[in-house]
Amino acid sequence: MRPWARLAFWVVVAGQLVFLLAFIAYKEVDLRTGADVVLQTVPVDPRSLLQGDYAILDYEIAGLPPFMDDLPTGETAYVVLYEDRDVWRAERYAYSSPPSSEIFIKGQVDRQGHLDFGIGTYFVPEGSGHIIEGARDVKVVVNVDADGSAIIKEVLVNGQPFDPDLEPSR
Amino acid sequence: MMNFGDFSRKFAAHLRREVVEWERDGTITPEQAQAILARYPEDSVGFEAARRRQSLVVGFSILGAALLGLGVITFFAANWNDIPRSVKLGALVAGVVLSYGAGFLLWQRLGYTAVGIALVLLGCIIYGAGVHLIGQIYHVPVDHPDLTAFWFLGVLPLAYITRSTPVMFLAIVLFLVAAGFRLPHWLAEVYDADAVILGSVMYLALAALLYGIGKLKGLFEGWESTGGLFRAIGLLVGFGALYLLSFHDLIDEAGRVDAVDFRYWTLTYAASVIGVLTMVWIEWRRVRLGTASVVEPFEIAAVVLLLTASQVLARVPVEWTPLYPIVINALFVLAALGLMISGYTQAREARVNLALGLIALLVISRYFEFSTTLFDLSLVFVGAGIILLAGGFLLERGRRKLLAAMREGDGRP
Repeated sequence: MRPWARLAFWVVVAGQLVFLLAFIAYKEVDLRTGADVVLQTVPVDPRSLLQGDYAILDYEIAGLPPFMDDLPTGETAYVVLYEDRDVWRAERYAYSSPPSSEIFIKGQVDRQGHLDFGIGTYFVPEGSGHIIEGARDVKVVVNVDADGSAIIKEVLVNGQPFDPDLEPSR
Repeated sequence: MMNFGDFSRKFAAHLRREVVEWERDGTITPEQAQAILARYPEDSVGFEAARRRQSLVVGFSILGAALLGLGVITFFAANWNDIPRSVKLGALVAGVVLSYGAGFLLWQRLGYTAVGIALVLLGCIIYGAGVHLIGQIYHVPVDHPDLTAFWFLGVLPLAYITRSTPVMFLAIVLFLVAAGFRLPHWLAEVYDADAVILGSVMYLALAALLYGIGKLKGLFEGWESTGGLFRAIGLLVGFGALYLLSFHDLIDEAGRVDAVDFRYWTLTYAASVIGVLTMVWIEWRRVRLGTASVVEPFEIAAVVLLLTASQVLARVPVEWTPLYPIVINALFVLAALGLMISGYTQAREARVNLALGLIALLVISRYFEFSTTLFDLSLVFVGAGIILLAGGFLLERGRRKLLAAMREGDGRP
């Protein structure tokens, strides 16, 4: 291998490490700067070969109102949220980004005509997905930033933070 | 000097004993005996044995790296709650550094090329595991198209820097998988059958791109091996896509394609144009410089014809349905025959075998597709069995004739 190729080899390896760290930093910054909201959900439990067991989370606010029924797949819509006791609900749906004074979440219309907020997957330790799937009440604490992008912070199973070692009471 | 890749140590030892006997009984002169023995020097036979051992080392090393990488991926996929997030990430970063470091040391400093490259491959796999672990930690959806793309973009430069065939293989596979993960987003508005058709059309274009790049690499010293890899994968992906398009039911269920993301068309057209232009440029260069042929004109014609047909299939109204399966099946057979002829003219046994296998696959598929609605199932199995046996006999006979002709042409016994 020529000297420039040796140098290039280590530059690429360094680039891979920098990318991994930047990926983490990007997500951490998002988590630390947004607002937390709690959303109601209904989960199911499949598995990914690369990332292990996970729960698919189907959010209560993902259903589009009738006036948005003809919104094509892939289009963006915004849900303005309001706090209703222990959970945040949809106040209204909008085609364009609401003012920054409001807390809202951004989603894309999927093939089923629901909104996909990019928070439909929650990875769990192997074999513990049934705890979430079988629980009577599952809520998700979600962090939303100023432009409506969301990241899952934690899952609440029957009002308690998800613990893979504990079976919840139904 | 002969190609010693075909001669074993056992053969050489036997030949030496025979030559001594021939010289002793006057069948050959001492000069002729010397000339024969000079064609099979002991070093070359030793080299062949060493080459075989090295192939074994490469095989074991790559398999070891792949298994170890799979182990790392599944270990982190288990998502053990007892291991803190920081420890998991630290272990992955350390794994990446250690794999690349050990690989580089063994390969570049100590001369253990096979094991060194295998460890570099392991580093590439652990890097991909890292991307997916971070995705897991932050609950990035499993079908998120960026994860595999990030993995591919990290591996591709290393494939070119190391010129390693296994690392290049990983990069090409990641490229194809990353493109596939985009399809559900680009084709979100189309029906399932149309999505399969459009997906196959895109992969046909990507196959043309890989094949063209493979041909281009063949021009450059040191890149012949990876060029062969590109061409082989291009052929397999291209025939795979064409095979999917050959099903009558698929066309029957297709609706119409009018709401496809522009990025789908961009990638498909770009891959088609670059693939074809690359081959045209290689042929133009050959004519201009008078060098040996790398791309046959019929190869360019075949690729252009297949891409055009696939675009017509994707674009022209569905009322043409009865014609589509006939045209696609005919093109599949023509392409396979072209592959067989190119294998024959270039003395490549693998191509002839692949082409025969593809034609057999197509015949069997069509038989099952059209027979189940017409005959009782037991008749189908009996008929299929007879066809397979008869087809096997005919294919074997044809293959033997072809290979015998190739060997004669090659001057071999």
